[in-house]
Amino acid sequence: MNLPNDDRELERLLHDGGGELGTLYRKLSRVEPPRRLDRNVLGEAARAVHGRAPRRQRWLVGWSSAAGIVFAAGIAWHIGHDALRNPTPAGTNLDARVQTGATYVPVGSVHAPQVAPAPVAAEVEAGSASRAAAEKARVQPAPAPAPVAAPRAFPADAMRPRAAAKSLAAPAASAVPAASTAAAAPQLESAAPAAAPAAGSMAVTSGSGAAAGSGAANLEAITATGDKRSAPATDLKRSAELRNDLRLSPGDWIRRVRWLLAQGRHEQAVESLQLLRRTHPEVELPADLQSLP
Amino acid sequence: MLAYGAGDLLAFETLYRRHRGGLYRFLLRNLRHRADADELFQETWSRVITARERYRPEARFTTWLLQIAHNLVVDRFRRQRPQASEEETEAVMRTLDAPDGERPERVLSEFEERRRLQLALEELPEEQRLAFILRIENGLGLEEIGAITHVGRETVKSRLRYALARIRARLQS
Repeated sequence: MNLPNDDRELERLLHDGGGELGTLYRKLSRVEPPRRLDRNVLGEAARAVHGRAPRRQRWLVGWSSAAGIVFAAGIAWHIGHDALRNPTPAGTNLDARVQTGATYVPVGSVHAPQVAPAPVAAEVEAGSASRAAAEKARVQPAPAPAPVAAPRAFPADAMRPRAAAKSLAAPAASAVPAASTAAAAPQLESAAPAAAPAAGSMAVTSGSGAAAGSGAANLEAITATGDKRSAPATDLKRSAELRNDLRLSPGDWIRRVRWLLAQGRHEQAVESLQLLRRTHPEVELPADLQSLP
Repeated sequence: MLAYGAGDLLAFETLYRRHRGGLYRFLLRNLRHRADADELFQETWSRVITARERYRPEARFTTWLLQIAHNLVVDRFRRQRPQASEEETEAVMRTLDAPDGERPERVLSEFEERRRLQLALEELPEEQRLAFILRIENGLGLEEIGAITHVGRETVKSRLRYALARIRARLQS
């Protein structure tokens, strides 16, 4: 093979900075790698040295984990708090009540309106002594179990009871003779003196501090079971009716008080009116009712 | 490289800044496609990173780096298309043997010269182009080129001679 001037050109290429060819080559564009390749390579080198994800990503993972834990703890606390406020469901109360014979629910225990979420304040006000008494009353059977009388249904225009209350109360309205209820009333008074509304006791005989609606529902359920044990039926009926009064709007409640007065049930009307005043202190009573105590 | 092998990331960045341009141009001149050059550029550095703890300073880092890149380029050539046969190479060489007097004398503009050099590089056989680029772009000597391309010193000289002849022929055509 005959390559002209090959050795001279090779010498210039190797020792003379490439010679003329080298000069020409250096005039070609000096292409550089794109920036994304720089990022990729340097990132890979950093990951290889540190052996883990970049700091920012690790921080995000840690933050997310902490947030998840706090969220879960919040839910757990909320559930636990609710359980503390309502340790037993209404159905459990009912069963315990039936077994122990604790059928009377004092009006004073429903001091707070039904719409209130839970009677925490009532528990606080009641104090430890009242709570102890309530616990005792809840645990120990009533000394004189009484037959349960269903509360009489209210006039349709005077109240807005729940459909369940209506269906339970109506068929049992005349189940108990008046004589027997009148005779049973003193027994109730002696069995549960602390339950009288005049005593102002905030003890919650349901044992749970549950809302008034819960207690009323329990009582309704008890009356629906047709428990025939001897009980102060009149007071029990009055108690149930007062509980139902809590469900009334202020206007209906006022009409209900007037209706009670017209029926000659003055004592119950006064009691209902007092309950109305406590439940709706913002309502201005009409003149004919302001004279009542 | 030893410092990076010990965990010094700054040492790697220094090394990378120093060699990134030369490596990329070596790849681009040989592969002629930017996408291929990008891919093998990243692959070369990935292998450097992977081998950081095994690196021993038996040769210049440049030689070691370009050896990795060269191996990747050769692999790519083998997958993409067959190498020119010896007959084809000889046929090309015969066309370069024309006497100087038969070649037209032209004064080329600088732009035209650069364009022809680019074309000449692209038309070189792969082995010759590799050797030529390693010399003129990366400044390696015969021994280093031989170490990278796994051939002896004389073979490197031969490839460079052929490359020079073809380039000159292309520039004077």
